[in-house]
Amino acid sequence: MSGDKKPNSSNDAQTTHFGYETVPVAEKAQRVGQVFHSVASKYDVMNDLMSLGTHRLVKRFTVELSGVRAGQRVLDLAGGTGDFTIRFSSLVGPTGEVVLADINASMLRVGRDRLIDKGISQNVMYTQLNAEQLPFAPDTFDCICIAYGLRNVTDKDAALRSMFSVLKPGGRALVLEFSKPRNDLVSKVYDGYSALWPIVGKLVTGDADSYRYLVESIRMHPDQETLKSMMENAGFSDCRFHDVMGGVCAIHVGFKPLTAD
Amino acid sequence: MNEMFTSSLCAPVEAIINAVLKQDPGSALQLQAFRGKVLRVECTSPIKLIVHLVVEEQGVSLRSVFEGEADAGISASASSYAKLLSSDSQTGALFSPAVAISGDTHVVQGLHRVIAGLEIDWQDHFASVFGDVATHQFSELVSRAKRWGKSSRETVLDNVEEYLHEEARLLPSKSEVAHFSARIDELKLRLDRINARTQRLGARVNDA
Repeated sequence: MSGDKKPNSSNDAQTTHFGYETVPVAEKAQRVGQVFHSVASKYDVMNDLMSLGTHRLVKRFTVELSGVRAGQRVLDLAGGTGDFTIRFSSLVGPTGEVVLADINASMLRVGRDRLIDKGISQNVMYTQLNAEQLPFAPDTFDCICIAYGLRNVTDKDAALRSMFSVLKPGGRALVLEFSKPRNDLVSKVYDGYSALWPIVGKLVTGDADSYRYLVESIRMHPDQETLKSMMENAGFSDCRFHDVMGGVCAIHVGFKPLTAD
Repeated sequence: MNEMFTSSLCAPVEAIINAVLKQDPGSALQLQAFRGKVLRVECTSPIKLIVHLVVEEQGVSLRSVFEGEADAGISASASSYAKLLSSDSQTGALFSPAVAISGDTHVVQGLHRVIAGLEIDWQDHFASVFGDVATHQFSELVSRAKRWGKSSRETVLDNVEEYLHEEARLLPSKSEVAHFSARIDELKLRLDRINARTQRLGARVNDA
């Protein structure tokens, strides 16, 4: 297993990536926080614009892969505006529970307001937390889902280990994240298209820098195989991934073994 | 087929069914009798597709990935499903040889009854926007258009049939086909009799 704050950081142990920039480890969470404070109110609109609406289908498929049933406890990590919590809340029903968690207060506020406006309150809790140190007892959740969030975590290995710890034996973790397209043509088209995001971001939110970070952070994120091995290193078993749109995104699934090795 | 692709196909279908269910409270109530039930729907052609229909509190959910055991299953081609949803006779359509049913047939019949019987009271929604008078005028217009469409279709079909049978003589009429089939059957029977007689005479010659 990799040491703390090293595998995803640059060669210098005290620095890490923030898009293409190299920043001190202690500064990354704050810089990412600024990005999401800035985009929180227009986050859903921008998602629809950048993905041309396809993010809804990808999220739908991710929920199908979760296998969540009535009465289960689910952690929607980096849940932001609550897209997954809405779906999970209906699946777990009144006997289950969903915890919508995000490190960013602005995103969490947008998510909480949105859920309350939809009348979803009976089985949802809200927590502001750092994914690297989840403040829950071990073996708490049947399913943990982190969608488009792991990329922004400073120490991804620590986050995966923390997720593994709070997952119940037999429970599963899902990581939905941008990944590496398999096909060169898809890759080139995608690169060209994503280069437009800062311009669209500037027009819609008045903030091009946040979307420049988004594009850069996607490029710096580990590919499918690397993330799978990171999950295995964290202790997950039966890890697999589903490429979405030719690898533009990938959904990784891993299970906590029923018995400790 | 790719599960993500199937899931994407399910999304609009699920949205339409649930939207219609919202407009048809009677069917939504009937559906709740099957809450928690899962139907495995398999399409055999033109594309192979497996979808699980799960009855939930808010309507139905269509899933490309389902890890549990389905309560019932139905397998047919896309054209058979189309017939199934448009047929007046539920039993005739559901238990035709083109449709394979497994598991709890009560679930299949019940869900088929609800989904095939979905009906929206368009007039009610129209009236809430445009008022009763305009709605009445509009529905009269629609009814007249429907009646005209139906009678026009029947007239066109009758004329085409008559032209093909009687004037152009391109196709035989039903009675001509029946007469021709009867003559063929008669000919076949005569040939069979001749064949049997030939064999009988051949056997006598061999004996002699």
